[in-house]
Amino acid sequence: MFLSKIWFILVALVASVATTVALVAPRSASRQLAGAEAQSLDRAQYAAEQQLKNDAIRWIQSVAKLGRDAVIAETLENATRGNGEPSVLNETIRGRLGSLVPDLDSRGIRVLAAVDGNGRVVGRIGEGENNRDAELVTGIEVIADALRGYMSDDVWGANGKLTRVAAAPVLSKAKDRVIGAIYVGLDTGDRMVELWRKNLGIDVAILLGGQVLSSSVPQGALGSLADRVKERHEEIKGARRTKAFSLPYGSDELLAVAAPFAGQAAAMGAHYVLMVKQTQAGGPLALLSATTKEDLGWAVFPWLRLGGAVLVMIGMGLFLQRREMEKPLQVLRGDVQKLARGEIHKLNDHQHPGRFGAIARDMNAALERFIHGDGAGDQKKDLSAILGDKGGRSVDLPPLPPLGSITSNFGPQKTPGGFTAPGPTPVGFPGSQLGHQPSFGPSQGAASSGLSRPPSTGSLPIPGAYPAARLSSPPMPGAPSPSGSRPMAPLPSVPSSPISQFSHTPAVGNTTGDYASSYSPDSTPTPTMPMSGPTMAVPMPRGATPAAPADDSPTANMNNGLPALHPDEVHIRQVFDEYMAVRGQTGESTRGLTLDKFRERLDENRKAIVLKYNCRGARFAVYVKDGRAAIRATPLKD
Amino acid sequence: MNAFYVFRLAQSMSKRFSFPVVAAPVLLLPALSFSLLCGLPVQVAWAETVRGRVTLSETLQNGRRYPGYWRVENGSVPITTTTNADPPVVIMSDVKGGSAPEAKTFAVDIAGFAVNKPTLLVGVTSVVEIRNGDKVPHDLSIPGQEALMPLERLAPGTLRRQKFPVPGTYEVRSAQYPHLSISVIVIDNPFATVCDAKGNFKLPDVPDGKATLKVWAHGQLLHEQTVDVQNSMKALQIDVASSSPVDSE
Repeated sequence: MFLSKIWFILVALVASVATTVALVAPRSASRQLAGAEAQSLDRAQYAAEQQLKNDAIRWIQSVAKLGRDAVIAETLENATRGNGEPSVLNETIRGRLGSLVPDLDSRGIRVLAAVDGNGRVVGRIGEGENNRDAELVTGIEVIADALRGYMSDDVWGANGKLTRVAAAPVLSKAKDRVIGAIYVGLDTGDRMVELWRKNLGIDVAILLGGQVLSSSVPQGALGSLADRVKERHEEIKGARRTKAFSLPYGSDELLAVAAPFAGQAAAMGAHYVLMVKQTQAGGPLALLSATTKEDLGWAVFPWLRLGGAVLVMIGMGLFLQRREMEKPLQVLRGDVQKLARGEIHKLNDHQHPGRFGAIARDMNAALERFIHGDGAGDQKKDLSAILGDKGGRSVDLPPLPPLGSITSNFGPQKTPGGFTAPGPTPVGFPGSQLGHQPSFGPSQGAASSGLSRPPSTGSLPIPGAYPAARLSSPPMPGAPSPSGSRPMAPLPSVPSSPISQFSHTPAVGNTTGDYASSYSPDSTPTPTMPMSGPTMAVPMPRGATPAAPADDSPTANMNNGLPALHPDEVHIRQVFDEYMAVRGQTGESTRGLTLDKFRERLDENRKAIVLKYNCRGARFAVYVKDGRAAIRATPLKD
Repeated sequence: MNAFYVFRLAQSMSKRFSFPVVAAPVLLLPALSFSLLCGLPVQVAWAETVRGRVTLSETLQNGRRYPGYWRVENGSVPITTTTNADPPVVIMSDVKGGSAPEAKTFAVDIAGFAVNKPTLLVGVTSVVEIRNGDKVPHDLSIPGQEALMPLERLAPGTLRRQKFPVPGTYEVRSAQYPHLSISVIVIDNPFATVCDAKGNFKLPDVPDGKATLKVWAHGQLLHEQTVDVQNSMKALQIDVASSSPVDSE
């Protein structure tokens, strides 16, 4: 149980760790995801900044190329010198710019204008092209730079519009001085937002003066965007961008990075904001729901390792359970079954580990209490316990040292042969009577009588006083084995006939009467126990020699002149024969074991049983206990 | 009363009554005698003229206040150097004494999306008149101090007057064209001046002792240093290399 518990604890720990990982991992995954998205936003912002720079230089080069146009240069030179009508110059510039850049809208050009060397607009196309006034624009930095010789760009935020501006000087034909400038204003709104969304793959919003100027997402959901950017004014001022910040967008969250535009617009709160929808890792269920078939493929998911681990865990659990539970339980059950069959007389608790040993001990204690408790009645009792000489369950018969142990068990089993027949049965085995049988004494051995043990009675020599006719009587058909249903070694010659005979014998106590007088014709034997009629029908006075059987008896010649044996004596001899046979089968020694000693011991036991249970006698049966022959006693009730 | 004030009194008297300043000691002696007779404490303090030159870096000199992504030369014609249309201003602070400049009215014209006087050094309660000479309106205000000068649209050809009652630095700016701004420095002592085109400056009658010299240019305070005004001090050379503004008090 110890290892099983440890294993179950380990499995529980692994399961708890796995559960913890399943619950915690999505959070860290969400953070990592947000970090990855922030990095992607950083890269997108860098790309956007580079795109702005590339656009700026590209347009600077474009207007510089326009400035190299001869017509424009000549017109601006005339305008700078004050030559020519302003309207004519204006028309010339407009016409020339229109011919050079015919598709303003498709290129996103909001205005394209030419400025003379004095800083006055000579002509423009696009927005305000009808304004023919020679507007002075020298204060505008990008134009002032162009008039000084710089090619530069700027971002304007005037009139609620964001305009990227590129300007370049227009040089004289001799390229020795600046005679004017050309600048272009580019629409920076929906067009740029759409372009960036396409190129960068993220959402874009443009802010100007605290308002969302343009956005690739619905502007209504970006109500707090301007405030969020304004809160990061110092951060933008220092790093020219913000770190990624969360932005509520309906029920979702956007991850956004804001950066200012260059030029004057920066001072007007012009920013572009790049946004991605923040991915929420969610919980384990959300992660599972997002699992795709590819995630569970053999090449991706470690099915073999996982399955192997599960099998190892299950196998380990089953092994430990079998080792510590099922097998000991099986052994215990086997022992209990043996106990039930009577093969053992108590459970060997030392063979059972842990609590199974405790169960065995408890069962043994229960058996002890049951055996020694009150009202045992016809329960099996240990002979030794009954005798009380050793307090144990088995008693070695002192006169039979080589016999090993003789066990007396009183149990509910019926007397072999169903000896519950009515009629006077001997109350006890009168040892004195038996002892008075001169023919039973060892001194009257078989040698003196000239009789030998009949072959059918086993290996023990039969004393000469044996009623040969009784012993040699053929077994009655249908007579049960003396051992009943118990697994007994087959006894070749002392089966049931003596028992049958015994069951119909008169009470032993009736020592003065003959057997016939004590025999009651009403006491009908059980059907399974037919009597050996001729034998039992012969009345035998006390001390008289039983009548010899009829001559046609197979053993008639062996019983000639011998008195009939007392049924108890017949029983003892039968038990003795069985005992000797069983000992022979179990390999135990039979040396020194005599019938007299055997009888003496059984008589003592019988007396003790009669006294203890107030019964009329006892029956003995031979069985094998722990590989050794043993004897069980059963009290005979009235 | 102390010697400095006596000297300044003598100096101002010499200006008003056109007698040489050297006559001041002559006037100083009776003043000292009078102070001693009356039991007044007499403290002698001397004043010096602080001279120097402010050199802005190339970036500050020729750069733009709001640069774009690119600014490259054309490769054919040399870049024209600009005259210092917006010279820096030198201000001595932490100096006691001296009288505040008089309140005046200053006129500033906007033309061609530019102002003719980007930086004004005015006395307390002076008035600045801003005239819009452009053909487009300009929305002018002092960002952050709308209570003093709220955002108002100045139509072409119109005038707006703004009074500055409290000493400090102010920036009047166009909401549409941020480069169009007017820096108004309101001072309550005479120790401030506008540098000439080369960046030279001279601050006369600065009392001896430690003072703080600040340089204001391009609409922001760009430099600040502590100077020890004394008789033997040399002309200061102030190089302003960075455009990073200095936090003003």
